[in-house]
Amino acid sequence: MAAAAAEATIDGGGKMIILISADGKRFEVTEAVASQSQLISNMIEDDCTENGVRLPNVDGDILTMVVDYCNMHAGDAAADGDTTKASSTEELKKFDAELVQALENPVLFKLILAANFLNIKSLLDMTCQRVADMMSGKTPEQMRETFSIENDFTPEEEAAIRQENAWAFDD
Amino acid sequence: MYRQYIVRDHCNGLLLVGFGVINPATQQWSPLPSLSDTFTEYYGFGGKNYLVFDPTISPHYEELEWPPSRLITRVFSSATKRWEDRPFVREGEAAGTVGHLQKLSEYGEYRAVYWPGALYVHHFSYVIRLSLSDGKYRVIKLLPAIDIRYYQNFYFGKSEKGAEWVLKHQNGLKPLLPSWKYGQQVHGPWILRDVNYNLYFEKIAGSWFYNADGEDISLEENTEALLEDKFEWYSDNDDVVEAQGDRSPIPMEPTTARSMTINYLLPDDVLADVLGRLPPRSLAAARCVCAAWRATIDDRRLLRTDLLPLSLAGIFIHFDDLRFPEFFSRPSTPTTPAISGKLDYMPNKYALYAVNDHCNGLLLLYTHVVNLATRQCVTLPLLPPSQGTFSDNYTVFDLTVSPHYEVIRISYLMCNMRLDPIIRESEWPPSPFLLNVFSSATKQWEDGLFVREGEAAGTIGDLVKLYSRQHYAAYWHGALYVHRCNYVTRLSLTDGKYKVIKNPQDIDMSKCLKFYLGKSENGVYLASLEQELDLQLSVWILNESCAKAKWVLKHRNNLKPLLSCWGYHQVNGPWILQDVNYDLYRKNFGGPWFYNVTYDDLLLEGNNEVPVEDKYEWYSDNDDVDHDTQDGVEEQSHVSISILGFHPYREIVFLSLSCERGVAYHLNSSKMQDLGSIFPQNFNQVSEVGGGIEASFPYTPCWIGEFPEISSEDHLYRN
Repeated sequence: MAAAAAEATIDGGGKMIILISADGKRFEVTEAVASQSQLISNMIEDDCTENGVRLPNVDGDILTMVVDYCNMHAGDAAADGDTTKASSTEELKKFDAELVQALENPVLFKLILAANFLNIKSLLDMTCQRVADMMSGKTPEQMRETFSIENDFTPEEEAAIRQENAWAFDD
Repeated sequence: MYRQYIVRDHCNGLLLVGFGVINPATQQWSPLPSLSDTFTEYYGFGGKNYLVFDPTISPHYEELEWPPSRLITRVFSSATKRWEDRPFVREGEAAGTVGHLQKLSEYGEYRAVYWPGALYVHHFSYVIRLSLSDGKYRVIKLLPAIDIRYYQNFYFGKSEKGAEWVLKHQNGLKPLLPSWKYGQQVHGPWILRDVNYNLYFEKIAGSWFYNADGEDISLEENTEALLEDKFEWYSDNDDVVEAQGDRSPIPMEPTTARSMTINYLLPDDVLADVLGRLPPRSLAAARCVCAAWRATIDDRRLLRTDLLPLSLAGIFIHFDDLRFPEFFSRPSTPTTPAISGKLDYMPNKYALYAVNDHCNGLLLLYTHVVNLATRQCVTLPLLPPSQGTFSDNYTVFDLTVSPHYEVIRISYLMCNMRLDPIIRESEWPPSPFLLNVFSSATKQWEDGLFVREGEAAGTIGDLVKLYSRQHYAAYWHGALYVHRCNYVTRLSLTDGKYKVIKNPQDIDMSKCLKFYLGKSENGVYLASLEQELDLQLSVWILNESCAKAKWVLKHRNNLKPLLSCWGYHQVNGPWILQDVNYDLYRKNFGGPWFYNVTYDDLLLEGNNEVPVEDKYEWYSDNDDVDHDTQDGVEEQSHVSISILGFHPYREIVFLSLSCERGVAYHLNSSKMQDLGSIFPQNFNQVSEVGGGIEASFPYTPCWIGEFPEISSEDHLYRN
């Protein structure tokens, strides 16, 4: 088949797929790793990955993180298949925490966008949860500060909105 | 005068029209020297001109003509006033083969943008970035995600962020269109100036259209274009522009947002995913952050206040000797779903289920945590009894902050305990104070050590002399307040510290007082009721604004005069007692009904269905209650009053009159209002003399279920 030309194989038959970031960086990953993205998984099914998968809205540095994440999590996706490469749950938790913990806001948002676009549910879940954790327990002022959001309400409007849920502002 | 003037480009205030450059603001026109057509023919491509002008850098403009496959461009500079060839060297990949690009080039307009020092020319499937300062150029491909077959209309231009392919907004506009009406509104906020028509009207020579002569057009009267300020549309304004006929507002992109902020980068559904993870209290705060967040939260109904324990549904009353707590409640209405107090799903058919505590929708029944609204029951793992002391359990739960609950076991001193004289001299509560804490997050009991700040309540020897039947608790702002005799222990659950808050000084503990500690409108309230000659009710609010917490007297009144003229000829009040015990017994729920009475001992009375009458509806939100009518007064000679609890959101105390009537006493108006009978069916047959109310808890239902379950293997003694 013509498609075979671009598909290297490793480890007894796992096909390789090339992901190409917006800025032209190329990443070679196994099908199992790439399939964690529902988008790519669908493309694999439709057999249209032979020329590499261009990801025009994912920067190279973001895609690096995504690929790291998928490499790390390829084990749990494979369920009870080949577990030799699967990382332990503890390791994964540590890896995940470290991945999102140190990210600057815009990078974190771009990672969310990438996870959303690529449709990688677990990554989207984790990154969205991280942002939610950054909001949780904060006052509106603190939330605006954390996320550099301008208050576009007038003082009267804001007072009225607070009044609608006075129970949440009873300090 | 006879030519067609097509606007070919615009850059920072200059228009490239036909073969000249125009500044409409200053009404200046500067023709360009014509170029030989052989140039474009030679390269086999149509040429196209673009303007480069940035008055903030230089007063001169340049015009570029540019064939796409070979980047020798011709540049006209207003500085030299000549056309010159200028080569650009490519960096990076080409856009594609000529053959491929030729096919695409039949679609579409080419547009260009001048953005700091570079001209970006959009060529359908790619953009060429000409760096004017160093003579280099790059090809930036369009997103392959854009299927060019479907996208017939592009507009490439300069906006807030420059040229960077970050998906900013993707929205099918089609759904917006059906609700879009412009019929009624003849004049929008903007107007078309009708330049052609006006010039023609003013008899500018030449043909008006290419193929129509001036005389062919019948002139209509052109009324002056209306410039009405009220239609002014501010593009700098983030507010939505309402469509006439107000179907749905059309959101405008915020132009003030910075390019790296969350609202700018995250699409609405992802933002909703993030916000949907917040606990209700944080979600309510997020709603105040900005209009976009509020719209996301409201449009998707992320904040379901109707499911939160924010309204009072009734009162759980635990009568002496009855197996289950009775539920005294307002009848259900179409807007308030019914809560059944029937605990027929409790696991042990032979146990006595006393209510130990209630907190924001969760009832603590001995070792079971129950959500009445969702009919869920979780049995806590057993904890070995503490050595030598007695203890009470309290539950702590605030769904608006966390879906997890905690149960806290606190030791107390039994009245008249026999104690070693040395122990009698030691302080109580001790510091550190060892409590047992069960968390639904970890699903196990753990030791909690609380360190005291400030004074102890007294010596053990003094405290064991005091007796109080009720030990109510309130959970408020992350702290649990537990009342015992003459002090409150305030446990701060977040930092493992505790404080002792002594009773208000003006309480005479010798007067056989009943106490109730609870949460109400303005925080933690303490009520005391004297039981001797006067039935004096006192209510304090805890003020913690200064370092030392203080009780502030809110209300004090002798209830005896009120009772002397109190009558309740009305048999059915607005509230009803659900008669849980009687109903379960009638349905042959296993086990004894009472502790010391078997089924056969009881003479079953017919239990008439209690009518639910809307006209008796009692609105706790309404302070303007009339004093109940006095006709048909039964003289109340020996009324014993007990406190059923505080209304959690209004300054109202619920009272029981001789275990027969439930009443609401309004602290602000000192008025009493009958709620209905609270006397359980057959209670007189089984209750020993003096049997009364053991405990009672105003109940706020929480409709969000799925509190964490505990698996059966957790139900083991912990070593």
